Amino acid sequence: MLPTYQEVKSTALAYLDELETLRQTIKEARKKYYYIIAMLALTIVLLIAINSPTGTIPILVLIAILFIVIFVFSMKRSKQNEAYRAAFKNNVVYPFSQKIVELYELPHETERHQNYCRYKPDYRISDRWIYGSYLFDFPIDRIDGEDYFSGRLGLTDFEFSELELVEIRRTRDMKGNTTTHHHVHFNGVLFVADFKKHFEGITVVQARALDPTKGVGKLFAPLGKLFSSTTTRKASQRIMMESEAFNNAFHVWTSNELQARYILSSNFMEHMLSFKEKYAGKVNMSFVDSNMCIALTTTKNYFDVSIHRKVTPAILEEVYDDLSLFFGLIEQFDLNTRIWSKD
Amino acid sequence: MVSGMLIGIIIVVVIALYLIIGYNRLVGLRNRINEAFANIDVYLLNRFDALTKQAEVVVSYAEHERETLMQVTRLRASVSDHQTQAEKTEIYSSMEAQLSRIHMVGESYPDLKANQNYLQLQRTITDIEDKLSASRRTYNANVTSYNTLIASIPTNLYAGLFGFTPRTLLEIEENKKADVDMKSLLRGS
Repeated sequence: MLPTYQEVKSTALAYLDELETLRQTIKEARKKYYYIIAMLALTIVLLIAINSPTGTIPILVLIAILFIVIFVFSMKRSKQNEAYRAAFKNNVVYPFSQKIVELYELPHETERHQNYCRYKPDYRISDRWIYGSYLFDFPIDRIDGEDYFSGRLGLTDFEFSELELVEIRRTRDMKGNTTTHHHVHFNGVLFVADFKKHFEGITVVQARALDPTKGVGKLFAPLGKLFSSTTTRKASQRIMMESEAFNNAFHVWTSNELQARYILSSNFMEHMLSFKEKYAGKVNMSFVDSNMCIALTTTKNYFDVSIHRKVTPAILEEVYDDLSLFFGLIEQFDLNTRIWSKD
Repeated sequence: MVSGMLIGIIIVVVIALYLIIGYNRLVGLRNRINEAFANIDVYLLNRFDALTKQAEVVVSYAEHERETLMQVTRLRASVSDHQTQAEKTEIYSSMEAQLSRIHMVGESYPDLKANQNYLQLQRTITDIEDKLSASRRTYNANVTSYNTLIASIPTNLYAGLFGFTPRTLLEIEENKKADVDMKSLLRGS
């Protein structure tokens, strides 16, 4: 069981005042720059307006100084934003995650149970899982990511991070002009955990774009079954499960039907459906090398804060909810129940 | 006239292609069904072997059950590939009933629960049970697809000609559909 927000909030609340002091210091420092820039701009405007008897050279010098000040201010501003974000991640997100993991409890724990978590704010999950999960079947030209967590909860090893996968498309027109377009194929979180059973092959469970039992989905249900596509040639066999609700929510592709049904027991399918109901975005999953990979699509930027916004207890609770969502995946899918022959 | 002939040839080719694709699909499904059936056999045997090993651990604590275990071993030796599935299922049921008795005896020995070998075998058995369930589900799913295909138009027009006949689904035995009387079971009656 994950601890409640009440049990862990004191860890982060202690640092709120310090964070707010840092934010105010940065804002005060910026005010000086705004003042200098305003004065320079005003002086330039006045000199131009009165048709300065000293000529245009002083005006040009003042404009040059103004540009230099703006440039220096931009560099400093960027660093200050980074410093504030880093302070938030290292002093709020990290201790929060540590506390949640430390207080995580399971009934009937043995010496094999361990709870720990590492956090690297500027890192992302490795390419091994981006390509090896078989969840992203499109050209990837640029990968951005942050907020990398890894560790163990109970008997389950896990890792996850935010991820943005971009395809860069270049088109050339009749005149030979090239246009570059950055297409974001995936924005969200990739979560990978050690699955509770040992299995072979690859099984991919793709969320259906439209629920064929609701609204517009009813119209296009037959087409959906015709045009669903496999995400990889390695999982090329499409199978239907026994649960109609599950088949309405997901497409299942596999390289080994027996292994897919071994993984997707009735109980497990219920867990997947229950999670899909709770999570607002699109959820795709795959089962590879005895690991479970979950791709959660979202537009939200997790574990981040703007310098223009004071960090309040409400924001802390949001961070707690986000951490609980990801750590809670292990409980959601009952990954710590290890009654099969995989250790 | 030439264009008429051409259209005729195209129609014949399209029909032939359709028949070939349909036939191949039926063959593919039939092979998957046979494979799933063979897997059930394999897992039944694996389950039995794991249960026997676990029973041996129990017998090491309760020597008086050794004779029962030997009966089970003799039954196991009587299983052969020449028997029908129904005959094999009957022998397996008989063996498992005997093994269940031995495992029930094991409940009287609390030290057994801490035996690492026993625990590891328990996990193996759970694993095999899940794989057995998966192979049965695979079998039934493929039989359903196969039966649906050979009953659908226009496949039903030629399926019988090529020897594709409906297959039966695996069903749960009647005695396993009944509610389990936990009280009687725990009292040992």
